[in-house]
This record gives sequence, structure tokens and C-alpha cells, in this order.
Amino acid sequence: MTENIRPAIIVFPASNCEKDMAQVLQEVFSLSPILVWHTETHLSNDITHVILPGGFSFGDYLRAGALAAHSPIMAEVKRLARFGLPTLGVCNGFQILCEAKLLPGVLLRNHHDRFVCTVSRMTWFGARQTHVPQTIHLPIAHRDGRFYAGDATIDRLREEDGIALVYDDADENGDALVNGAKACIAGIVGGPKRNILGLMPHPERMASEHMLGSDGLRILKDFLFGQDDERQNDCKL
Amino acid sequence: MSKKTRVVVTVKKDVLDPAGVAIKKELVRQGLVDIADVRVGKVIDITFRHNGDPQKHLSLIKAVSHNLLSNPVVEDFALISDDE
Repeated sequence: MTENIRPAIIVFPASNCEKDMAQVLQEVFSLSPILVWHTETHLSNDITHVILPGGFSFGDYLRAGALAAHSPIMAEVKRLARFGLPTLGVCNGFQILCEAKLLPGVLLRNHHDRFVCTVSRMTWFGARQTHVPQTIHLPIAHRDGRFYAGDATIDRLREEDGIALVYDDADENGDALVNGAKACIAGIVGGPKRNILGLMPHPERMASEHMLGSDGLRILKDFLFGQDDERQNDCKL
Repeated sequence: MSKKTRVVVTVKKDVLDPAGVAIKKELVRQGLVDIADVRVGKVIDITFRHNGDPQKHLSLIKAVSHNLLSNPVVEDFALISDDE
């Protein structure tokens, strides 16, 4: 049932999670993703999903994701995402989606100014469709993961169920203990069909039993198939 | 003829600047106890190769400062032109 799904993983200079993502898509979902270099200007017509992987595109120069957001391929990514093509940004990919204005807000330096690398407890509300909140554990690894947006944008995200994933541990202001993210936001969803998902944690790093956890599968299945799709049950786990 | 323009990007007042906080802490430790705030920004110097139309250069720099060099969600920018 996965033969019609053809993800493209965009590779920027200093992306470093594209192979992890490709391996999970191949081994767990039996998909054949293609890697696309950022200087390309076109994605072939059979591409059904676009993924911007983690890493440190362009060395995080200027701001994390700022230069990648202006790469040649991004005009095509923007066009397709605004048309409704499922688009996922993980970590640096999330930063790129925000810098490309496909999602609101921005990812800033963690409030404690340190790189964090840990497994964090979060609540997942769903992307393409919302569902009963689920507690999940996912790995994070970033120094620029503090989601920030103005109060009006946060209110709008809340009203539109645009907050897809939140860190569970909050400080007295309601911001994330782990990195200072406003309203504990770890991931948001937007686009004309709730098709654009940005996440700071790495679902591809916990997507099978031999990875010490498989909570990332819930997110990847939702992104690939949508909540109610029977293909949700069709992958190997 | 103006050839060089300095773009100064600063974090907006109401946005936490962790680097500024860390520097302020150390400056206070070194005796500058009256400091109210420290903010860290970026300086981007843009030098044109040829003397072109300064007004055109300025409007181009304004555009890229807004679209790329700063992120208007959290940053402000100022331009300083250097007449050489």
C-alpha cells in the first residue's frame, strides 16, 4: 500500500540527518525516498511528501535556517506546500520552514544558551488531524530550539489547533523548561490542509524497537498517511 | 560616493537575548554594576565593487535587510552608510 508514496528529502550543505530519515522510511515503511540537493529547482511529479531534515544548514550562519530558506529548491518547496503537499521539517528543517515563512514564528537560541541533547516527554496533538492528546518521548538535540512568536500568533495557533506538539515540563511562565520555548511549543502545523509540520524533536531517531523507543512512528505515520488512513497499520512495526 | 553600508541587526527589546544576559552577568562581576541591559547584535558590512547609484544600492540593501539579514519577528535593523 506504500507504492504510491514517494518522499523527497531535501539536502542542504551541512544537513546531517537525511540518511537517518531515509533509512527509517526505507526499513520501517518500505518506501523509496529520494535525496534532492538544495540547488535543484524542480521536484518530479511523483513526489508525494517533502522532508527537510535536521542538521546545521549553512553552518547556522546569520540565523538557523535563514540561508537554506533562500536556497533554489525552496521556491518549489514553498509552491508545493502552499498547494497542500505534506511537508515536514525536523529540527533544522523546522527552523527552515519558519525562516521560509511556511510556518509562523522563529526558533531562537535556547534560553540557557546551551546545546541540549536529551529525551524529552511531550504531548502530541496530531498534525493532519487532531486527536486525543498522547504522551510521547522523543529525542531533542539543538541549541536554537526556543520557539518564539508574538502573543497574537500564539493565540491564533491555539485557536486553529496549530500547536501539534508541546514539551510537558513548563516553567512558571508556561514556557518550556528544556529550552525556553514559548507556550512549551515543540512543533506546529499549518498550511492549507494542515499539511506543513515543523518539529524540534527527531521522530526518525525513535522509530523502531532497536532505537530504544518507537514514539516517533506515531508522528511519521500521521505525516505519511494521515490519522485515519488504513495504511497506518501497514508498515513493519 | 557611498560604497559601504553597515547593517546592524539587533534583537527586539521584548525578546530574551541569552548571550546579552551572559555578558551582562560578567560585566557586573567586573564592576560595571550600573548596567541596565546588554544586547548582542550582528554587524554586516556590505561593500559595492563599483560606484553605482547610491539610492538604488540603499533600497536593495533595505530589501535584503528585511527579507534575509534580519528576521522581523524578533529583530530590528539599522543602516549606516559610509562615504568613502
